[in-house]
Amino acid sequence: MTAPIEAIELTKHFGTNIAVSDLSFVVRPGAVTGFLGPNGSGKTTTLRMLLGLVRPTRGRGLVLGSPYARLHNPMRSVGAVLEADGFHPGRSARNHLNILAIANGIDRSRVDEVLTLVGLADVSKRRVGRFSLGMKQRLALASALLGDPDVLLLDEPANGLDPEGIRWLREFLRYLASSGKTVLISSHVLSEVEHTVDDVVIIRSGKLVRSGTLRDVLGEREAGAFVRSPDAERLAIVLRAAGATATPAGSDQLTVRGIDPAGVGELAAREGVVLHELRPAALSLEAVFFELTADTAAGEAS
Amino acid sequence: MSLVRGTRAEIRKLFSSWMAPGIVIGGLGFVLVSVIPLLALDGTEVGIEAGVDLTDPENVQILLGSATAANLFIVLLGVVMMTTEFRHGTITSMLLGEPRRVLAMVAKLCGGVVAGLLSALLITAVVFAIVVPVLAIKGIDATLSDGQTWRIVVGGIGALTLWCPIGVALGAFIRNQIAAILIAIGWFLVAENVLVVLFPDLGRFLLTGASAAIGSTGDTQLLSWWGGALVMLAYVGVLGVAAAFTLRRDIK
Repeated sequence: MTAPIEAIELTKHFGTNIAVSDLSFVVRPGAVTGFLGPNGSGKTTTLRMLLGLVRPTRGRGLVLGSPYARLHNPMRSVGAVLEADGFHPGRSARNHLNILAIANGIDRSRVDEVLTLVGLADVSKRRVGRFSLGMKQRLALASALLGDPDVLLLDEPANGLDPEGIRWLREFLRYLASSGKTVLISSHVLSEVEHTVDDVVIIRSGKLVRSGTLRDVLGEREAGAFVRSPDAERLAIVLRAAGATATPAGSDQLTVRGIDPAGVGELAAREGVVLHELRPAALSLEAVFFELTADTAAGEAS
Repeated sequence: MSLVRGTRAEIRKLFSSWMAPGIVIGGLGFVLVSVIPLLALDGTEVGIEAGVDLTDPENVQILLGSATAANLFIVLLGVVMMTTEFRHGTITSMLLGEPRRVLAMVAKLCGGVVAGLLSALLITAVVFAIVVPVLAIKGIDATLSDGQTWRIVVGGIGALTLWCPIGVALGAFIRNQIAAILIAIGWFLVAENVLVVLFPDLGRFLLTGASAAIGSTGDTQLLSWWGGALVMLAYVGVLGVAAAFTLRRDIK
């Protein structure tokens, strides 16, 4: 099966600035892939190269197996949200979508469908100039979904959204994923996408840091546990003797690496140490991300 | 097929905000400001020297073809049609729908031709609706049975139409809307007219001169009407091709 989205050694130079460098990755069909990296790491430039808006200096971007510009009626197979302000402020939301529908040969009934889908049906006749940023993001999503594409590229769709909008977006992404669409979503706010993505592509300074399933990327980190004990000092000695690292995290708390919670519990029982709390140390995508990008972070401006 | 859809979308854009209709109405107003006084002070009234003699058929023909006076407005219509895409970032969704840049530009230029034609027809229709009845009341022949009249009127509509894609092409070179508008005004309103005065032989080959020749009654300073048409079409072709190449730049 053809990969829905594929970057092959994508490289883009803007003058002397190297925005993206030899970036290769493949997006799985039907998966939600988080395209992650700090601000200025080349995410937008990469997405724009994939969509044929920016010409790569080297390499190729393929969507559904061919360059975007070769797709027949591209908006029917690929939807994109690139910026929340790509609207004429004097046009109504409905008119914006009508124009896209005409230009792309999409049935006009679809305009009402997507307006309802993103919750803008009631304000569809209002001029976009009077829309809040959140409403514009919804309209951008409606535009992307207009052609009912199977592949979606979303560039920072949560930018500028209030907490309610972010929650809405998260639910919306789950809905897209459950309907079998392939989604590539870029973000620099990792907590936004952590509960939504199946896979991740992590870049920094235009270079690939890591790509794979979220489970692999999180799971390959060392097992860990968080433990609370009135005798934390003795527990720490026991754990270190067993080959783990135990870092005090408060007077009666330890963060353990190298042994999973079951192992910590067994050791504690054998040594007769009282435990007040024992749980897996939560590994957030954020923590992993900072760990993964730490090496390249040194000495490089993002 | 996509070209037809692209052009239709362009027409839909024109009517989706007040900008384009506003410019056309402005052009219509500008034309009427010159037409109405000429009708009122037509020189047949005793003691008024300002007017033109409408008993001269040539003057009636010029009056009926006066829509061409709106050329600056129509070139600005084209400039705005194109630069609006850059100003509001709608160029992105336009190119996502038609990623082949040359075709996208051709669709935009076709949209410009249709927009120019609609504007020219509208302004001409209003001019006729005012001039013809007034001449009838005054008992002056509106020269509607004269072939020359229709050549001037139809030529004028054609010339006015072509100003719009020229504006579109200009907007593709100069993406900044304000800069493009100022340059269009500076060139067509000031520079070309100065050049005509300084170098009359060059002037007839400039856009203003070529456009004027298409709708002229036979001004010896100008090219023949078909010569003007050829020159103007050449401008549209060259500027259009150049615009298509310009649009290949990255959209950031």
